Amino acid sequence: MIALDQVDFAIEEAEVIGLVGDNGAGKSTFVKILAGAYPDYSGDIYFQEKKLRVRNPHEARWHGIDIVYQDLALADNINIPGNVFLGRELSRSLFGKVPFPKLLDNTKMKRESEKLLDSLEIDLEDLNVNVENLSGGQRKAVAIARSIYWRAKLVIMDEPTAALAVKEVGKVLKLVKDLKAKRVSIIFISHNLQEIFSIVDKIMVLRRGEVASFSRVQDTSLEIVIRQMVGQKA
Amino acid sequence: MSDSIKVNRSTAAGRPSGRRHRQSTLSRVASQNVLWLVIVVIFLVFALTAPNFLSITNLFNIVLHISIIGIIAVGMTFVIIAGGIDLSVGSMVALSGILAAFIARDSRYGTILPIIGAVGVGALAGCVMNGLLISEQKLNPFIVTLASMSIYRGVGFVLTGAKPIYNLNDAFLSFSTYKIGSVLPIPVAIFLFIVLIAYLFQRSFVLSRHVYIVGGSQEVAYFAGIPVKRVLIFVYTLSGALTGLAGVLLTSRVGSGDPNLGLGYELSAIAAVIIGGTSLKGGRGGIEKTITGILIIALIDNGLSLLNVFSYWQEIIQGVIILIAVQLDIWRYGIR
Repeated sequence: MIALDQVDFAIEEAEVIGLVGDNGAGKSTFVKILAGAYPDYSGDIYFQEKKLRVRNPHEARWHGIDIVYQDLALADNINIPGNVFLGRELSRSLFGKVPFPKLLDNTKMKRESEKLLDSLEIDLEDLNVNVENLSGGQRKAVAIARSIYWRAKLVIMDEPTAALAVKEVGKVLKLVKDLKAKRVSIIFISHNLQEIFSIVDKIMVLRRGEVASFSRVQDTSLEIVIRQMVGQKA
Repeated sequence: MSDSIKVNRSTAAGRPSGRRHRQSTLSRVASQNVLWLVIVVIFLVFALTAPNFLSITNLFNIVLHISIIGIIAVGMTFVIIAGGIDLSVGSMVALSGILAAFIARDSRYGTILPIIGAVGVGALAGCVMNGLLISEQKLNPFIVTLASMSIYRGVGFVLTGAKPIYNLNDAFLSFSTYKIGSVLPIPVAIFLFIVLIAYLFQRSFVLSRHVYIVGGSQEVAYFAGIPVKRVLIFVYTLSGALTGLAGVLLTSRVGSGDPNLGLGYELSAIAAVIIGGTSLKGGRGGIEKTITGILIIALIDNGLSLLNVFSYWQEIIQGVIILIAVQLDIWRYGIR
């Protein structure tokens, strides 16, 4: 069974593309291919004019493609600096020039996290708390801040505002705009179409694994997108 | 700063709902101190009721008992933090001890070679059978290590013909009873050294951080680019190597390579880890917690023996303590 078929897609620098579609439309499959979670795809990915074969999430992040998953972005049992540097912990070698074993540089990770969060006006009182103690908005803020720190060139956000209080949604959307201002390209997945229309430059509608439409936001409307999502003619 | 996101953990908005773990630093410190209080109470009760409990010989016995199980429990701690379990450690004690005994029958090989052999076979058993099957085949750790528990014990019986291997060389036999400075028995010194190294590893090493992340969620770890398979292979190999070391120490102490050696050790090691407060769910716990668990088990075992309580009652009591610890784990971390 093919989850995605003939999906052509292009994103410019500092562009925000909204990815919408009903459940089972292929949104998750599409972004997981870009993020390296599904290495067995056919087709080509060109990133900054170079052909890429993304075989795992580590490679994707190395190339500058980061994904903020709805539930899998953060390690609940690790503190805030540990999550900013999740999988890319700052370290120093125990034996000088010998690369292994590596010791955690907790002081530097905390200092860098403080600087980063301050610069984004994300005020977290105690960085040593595990992220499971943060609210939904705070968790998303930490995940997005991580993408900014690592200078991701393409950030994929999977339902970044789902299950957030209204006030926190606004704050997360502000961080998305901050990312765009830093020339980062963003793929924004959400079921909230009004939110999508408020923040994206283009909208791609997926339906049953195929592209139903891909248009600039000023060339379409909420009603058209809904009709495309459910398969009615526009 | 009007757009800033502030943490306010005293408000409902800042405190996520549900049964997910929300343990404050205060309650964490309190629960750990409660265990130390429990240890003191158990110690005082047996000091007042059990004959010879406070004798130097008995206290040495407790420490020696702790050291063998403790070395295994250190490895088990990292396995459980990584979200796994290792039921094969008891059988690995026997298998590695048998290998050490085979080598130690020849007086030319002294002590070092049997130790290397036992640690090597333990590491290999932990890596190949447990680590690779669990990480590469994504098989359930409980099932894999249950199978390897049976296989390793069986191999031990086949290799020995179900008879203990005697006639080990003198250097090897005296190794475990040797006391550093006439005070500190070798097994205790090794245990303390391993605890120290493990604690430093736990606090400071990148690999240890990855063990915690993998234990918290393998998916989160994978998407963060952490080599999950390598981490899992590492913890099972470490557990095997430390179990091999415990096996050679025990073999030297009892004076033979016995296929029945280490029976039930998996239960004691797992119990020590869980009673100490390391979560069966993975991702939480540590060596310092395991030490409290080991002390509680060792003191109860020893005290009840001195009070002439039948061994099967001791097993029942240990089982009840494990149930209480698991219930506390569910209460703290919300798992079933």
